[in-house]
Amino acid sequence: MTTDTPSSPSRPPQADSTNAHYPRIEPVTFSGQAGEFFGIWFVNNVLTWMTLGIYSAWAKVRTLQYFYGNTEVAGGAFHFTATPLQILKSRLIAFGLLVIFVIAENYPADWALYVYVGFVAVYLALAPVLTVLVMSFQLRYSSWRGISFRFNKDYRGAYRVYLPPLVMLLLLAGSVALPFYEQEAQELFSDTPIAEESGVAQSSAEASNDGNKRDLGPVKKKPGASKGIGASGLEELDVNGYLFIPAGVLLVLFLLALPYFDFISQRFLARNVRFGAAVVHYSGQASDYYRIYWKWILATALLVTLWIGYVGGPLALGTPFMVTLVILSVLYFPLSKAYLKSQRYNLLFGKCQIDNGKFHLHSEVPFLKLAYVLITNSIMVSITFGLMTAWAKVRTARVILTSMALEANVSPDQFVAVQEEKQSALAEEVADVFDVDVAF
Amino acid sequence: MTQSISGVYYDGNSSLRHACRFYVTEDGLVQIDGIQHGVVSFGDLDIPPRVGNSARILTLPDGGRFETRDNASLDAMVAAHRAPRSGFSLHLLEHKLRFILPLLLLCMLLTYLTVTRGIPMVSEHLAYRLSAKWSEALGESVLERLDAYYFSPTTLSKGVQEDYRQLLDRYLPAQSDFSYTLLFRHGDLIGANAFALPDGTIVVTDQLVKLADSPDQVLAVMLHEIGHVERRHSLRALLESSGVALLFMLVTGDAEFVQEWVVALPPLLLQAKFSRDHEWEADGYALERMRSNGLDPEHFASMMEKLVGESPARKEASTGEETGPDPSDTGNEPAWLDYLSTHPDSELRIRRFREAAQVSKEGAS
Repeated sequence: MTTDTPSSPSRPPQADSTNAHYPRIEPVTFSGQAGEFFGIWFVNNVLTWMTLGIYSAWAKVRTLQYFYGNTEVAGGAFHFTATPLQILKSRLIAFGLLVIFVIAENYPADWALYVYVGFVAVYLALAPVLTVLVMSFQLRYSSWRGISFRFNKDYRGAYRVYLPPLVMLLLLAGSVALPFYEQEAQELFSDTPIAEESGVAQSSAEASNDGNKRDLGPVKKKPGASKGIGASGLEELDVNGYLFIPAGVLLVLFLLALPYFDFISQRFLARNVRFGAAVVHYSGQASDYYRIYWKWILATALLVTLWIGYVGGPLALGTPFMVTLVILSVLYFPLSKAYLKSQRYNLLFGKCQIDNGKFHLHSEVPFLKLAYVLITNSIMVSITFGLMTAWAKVRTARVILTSMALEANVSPDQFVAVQEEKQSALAEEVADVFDVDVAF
Repeated sequence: MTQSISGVYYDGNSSLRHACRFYVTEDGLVQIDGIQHGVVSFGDLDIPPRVGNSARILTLPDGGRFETRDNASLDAMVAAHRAPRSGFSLHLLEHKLRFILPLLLLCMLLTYLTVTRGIPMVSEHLAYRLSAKWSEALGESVLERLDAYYFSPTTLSKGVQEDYRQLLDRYLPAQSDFSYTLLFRHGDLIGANAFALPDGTIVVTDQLVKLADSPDQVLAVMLHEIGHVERRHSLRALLESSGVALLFMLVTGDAEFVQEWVVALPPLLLQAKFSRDHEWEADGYALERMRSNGLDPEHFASMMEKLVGESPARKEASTGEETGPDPSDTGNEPAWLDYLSTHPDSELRIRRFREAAQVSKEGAS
């Protein structure tokens, strides 16, 4: 149980940072306690249920304030300064949009279909803008040592970074759906309207149309087959195996490009962060990302090969091998999650320089320790039916935050605040509305 | 009396750090060591609510900030210098065991009741409200899968099959949303067992037919299976696990630190409990039908005994459809494993029918 004993002041008054020698490493400390946070988490949950979700805005603010306020570096804690009402407003609007979306998804009328497709299209088209607004909201209401963070609203850059992977994913989805919707795709392609399409089929068909434009080759090569499929209902079930080739090619291309996409998106996020007037520079390279993804893909391929070898038979190996393989497979998902998470964290934060190299962030989240924490979290949360959630959140934050440090080449006393450039009230409102909850 | 707390002052324009003390004089005015600021009354400051022991910031009208982790002294200061607020403090609620413990117990009780009573009740209600088509949709392609992995074609003669079909026809429920089909399959590894698919298809294994002494014993088992269909157990099981998964997700919230597969665990653990309830209910249905049709409940009891005796340590065919009156392994397992068992204790089930048989005999004599 927590007590009311006064905690000692964060630093003795005399030993101020002005006396310290630079460069020095300022470790990040996290003083959150599972027992203390349990009360906050629990009351948050109870009140959220009792108020049918309205309290969730307060719950979110209190949770963030707890984690921010317990994170300290160089004698200053972080603060989350948004008010619950701002978040409540954005949640209500997001909820309203969600309700319209769900109704449109399920309502069997033409207008509902248009609304649904319109929603998806607008959402996809605006996703980069939303990312920028969300980042901006988060950072604007975060401060350290009395100075706010900001996010440079580089919309053009956001499209440059997020559009290529989005387009590629759409093409991939389209090409995977292509073999199953071959007929519809062709009809769409030849501008024959399809009557009576359900919402799902419609969107899939559209996606395959996307794919079709690109994958013309294989479709045109087999005119006989397509005629047969059009004529007979039975043959429709026989999916043309060749049509999977574009999907396979695209998948390989996507996997090859994935580390690069990740690199540009993390770089985009890092280099647009401002702390007061100070600018963040990002020194990570695409090759760093290829290195971590390469290991992950290699491990995945190895595991798959072992399974194929075991099932296929050429490897005549005994029960111990089988047991090891099963254990490895069970651990595969948590391990790869922890690996990618820790390595990406380290690449995101560990490669940041602030204020023209005066400060460097260090991030060395240990992969195995994080994996251990995540796996034990999962086990404890599930066997206690969720009661250990607060504990899990606190220890996850602790393992990540305490692996970070600020390398200061000069005293961190000289950051200066920037007077917020006067945004129009509308832009402010819009940004506020799109708090994190935009992800439907 | 002047009160003070230690902390750090920032002017809001730079990150320059002044470690200092913050005083409130007897007349409620703010003074900060070594900092020039206008006359500020402590009562006018906006004091952020306390969140655990995390650092708090007091913002002065001129934009200066005083950051402190000495939450206890700050609270004392607020109590001394400001009009008491409406008495409701989130921090106390979050912090005092005397609030948390009773609430926690209440929540656990509510969750327990929701899971054991609420969710099954709502699922049952919903399952009956939804048209029978929903149940039937669940059964689609199940038979193909069973045929592919578990069954081989039956070795029973057409005549025997026809006899059983006619027998079942006589005992089908008078009004039903489902149309029943009786199929026979060789059970292979599954052994003597019977299955009901949600669309009213009833599959009986050859082994079960051979194990039975009389057609009435097979009929008793088939009535149990019809009970599963009539009571829409497949659909209810689906609704129940979805309900538990939903509840769990709402409790853990944005469980980013939890592996996704964990969400599936609580429903899985509870499924066994729901399944036992369904078996018991199907038994009840069979018993009811046997009584009203003048069949001796003893047939079911003796069939169960045979199944228990014959029972190889069998794996549940966990393919989503209801399994038959599969008596779970008896006796040799520690008691806590009962919780994971999908079927109620066979002894109990047999006794239920024996007692019923006894009662009907006494009634007759």
